[in-house]
Amino acid sequence: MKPCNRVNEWLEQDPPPDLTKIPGSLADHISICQSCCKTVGFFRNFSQDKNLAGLSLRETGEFMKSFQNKALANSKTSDSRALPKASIFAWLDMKWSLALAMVVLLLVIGFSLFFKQTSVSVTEEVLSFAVLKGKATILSTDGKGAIVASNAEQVLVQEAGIKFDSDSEPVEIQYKNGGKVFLTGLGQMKVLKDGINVETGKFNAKFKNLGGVLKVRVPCAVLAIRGTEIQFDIHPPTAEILLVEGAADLIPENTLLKTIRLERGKRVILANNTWALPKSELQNIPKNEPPVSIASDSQPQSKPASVTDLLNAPEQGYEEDPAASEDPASSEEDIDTDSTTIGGDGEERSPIGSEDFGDN
Amino acid sequence: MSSREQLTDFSILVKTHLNSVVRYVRFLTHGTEDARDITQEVFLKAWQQFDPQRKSSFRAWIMTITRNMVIDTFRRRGPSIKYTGTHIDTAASNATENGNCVGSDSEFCPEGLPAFAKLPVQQREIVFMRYVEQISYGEMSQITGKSEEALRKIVSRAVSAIRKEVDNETLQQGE
Repeated sequence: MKPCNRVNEWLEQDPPPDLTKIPGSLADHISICQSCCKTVGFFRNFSQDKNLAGLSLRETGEFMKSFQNKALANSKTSDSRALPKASIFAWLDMKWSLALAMVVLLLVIGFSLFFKQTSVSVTEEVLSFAVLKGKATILSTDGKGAIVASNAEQVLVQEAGIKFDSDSEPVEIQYKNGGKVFLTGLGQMKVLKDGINVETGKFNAKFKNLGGVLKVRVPCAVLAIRGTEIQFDIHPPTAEILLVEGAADLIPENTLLKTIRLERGKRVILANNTWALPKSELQNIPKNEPPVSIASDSQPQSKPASVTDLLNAPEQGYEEDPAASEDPASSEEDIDTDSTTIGGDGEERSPIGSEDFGDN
Repeated sequence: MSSREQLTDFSILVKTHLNSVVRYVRFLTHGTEDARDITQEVFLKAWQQFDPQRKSSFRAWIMTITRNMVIDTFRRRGPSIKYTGTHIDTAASNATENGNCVGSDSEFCPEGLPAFAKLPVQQREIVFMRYVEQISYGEMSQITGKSEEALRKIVSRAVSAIRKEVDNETLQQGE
C-alpha cells in the first residue's frame, strides 16, 4: 500500500507552516488519515518540546542585565565602539586629512627653506658685484640713515653708498673680478658696479689688481684708473686730487675740456667747476708730450705740498688745448674711443669705457 | 547616535532573538551548561560588530554567529562538548563505527519522538531550524552556507524519514 503523503507538501512549503494552524482542507484529511495526523503531531510536539524551551522571564532579565553591563564595559574600553561607523570613517578621513595636511605643510616649509637658502646664495653669488670689508657704514638708498654698520664682510648686491672713517685699518672694496680698492681716511662715496662715485671726504685710495678700467667719479670729472694710488680731498665746491702712484686720466664732464693725464706726484684742483693743474705743475709739463707708460705699482714719490696750500693758490690751471677747442670730440669721448695708453706697465690698454669694469 | 542609544536598540534585538539563540546553542551543544555563556559571547560579539543596517537580517546573522561560535568552542574544548550541528560527517562516521544512532546519547532528544534522534545530524539541524525556529530556506541558506535547493531536499528527506518512523511506531503500537 502506498503511504499517504498529503501533508508533506504543506510541511515543506516556504516559509515554514504554522503547525498550530492547519488549513481547512488538510484538517479534514488529517482527521481521517492516521499517518498524516501522527506526522503533523510529531512536528507540533517537536516544536513545543520542553528541551527546546527558552529562558524564563527571570533568566532573561538576568541575562539582559549581565549582557548590558558587559556590552557597556566593552564600549568604554573600545573607543571605536563609542562612535558610529560613519563617525569612525569620518574620523579616519579626518586623520588622513590631517596627516596629508601635515605632509603638505612640511613639504612647503622644506621647499621654502630650500629655495630661500638657494635664492639667497644664488642672489648673493649672481647679483653681488663687490664685497665690502672693514669699518664702513652702508648707507640706505635715500642716504638718510645707515642700515648696516659692521666690521664684517658685506656683500654688495646693488649700488650702495658707504661712509668710512678709518685711519689705521683700510676699508676694502673687493670687486668680483678681483679688483681691490683700499680706502684710508674719512669719506663718503657710492660704490658702483663699474667704479666708485666720490661724494666727499679726505682720504687715500689705493687701487690694485684692476682687471680693467675703474671709473672714479669726482665732481665735474671722471677718473679712469688702472691701478694707482690717489689722495682725494673732495669738499664740493672745492676739491683736490693728488696722484701718489701710477697713472690716471681725469676726464672732465664738460666735453669741451681736455682730459688731464695724472702722473705720479701730480695734483689737480677743482675750482669754478673746472679741474685744473696748479700753476707750478703746469710749468713742468712739456707741451705735446707723448703719453708715458707708468707702472701701476711703482714706488710712490714724495708727496707734494699740502692740498690746502695748493687750493689757496690755484691758478686758472686748466690750459685749453688748441686742438681740443678745434675738435670738441677730443675730450672724454675722444679718449673713450682712442686707444690711449694710460697704464704704466707698458701693455696696450683698451679704450676707456669700452671695457666696463663692473661687467668683468 | 550615542553608544548607550545604540545599546538600547541592540538590546531590543537581543531580547527578541535571545530564546532562539539559546535554543540553537542548546540544540547544537546537546543542552550543556555552556548554553548561556555561549549565548552571552554570541551577543557580545554581535554587539562589537553591530551595524544598524543588519537589523533586517539580524536573525540570520546572529544564528550564523552562534553556529560559528559553537564550532569554535567545539574545536577548543574537543570532546567535552558533544556537537551535533557541524562536523556532520565526522560525527556520523563515529556514530556508525560505534553502531549507535547519531545523537542517541544526546540529552537533547524530544520526549516521545525517537524518530528525530534517528535522523542524520545534518537533517536534524535543518529540521530544528525549520520547525522550531520557523526559519525560511533563504535564511537557512545564509546560516549554513547550503543552497536553498539542497535545503529543500534535506527537508523533504527528513519529513519522509520521520513519517516513515512515525508509521512504523504506529504499526508497532498497533501490534
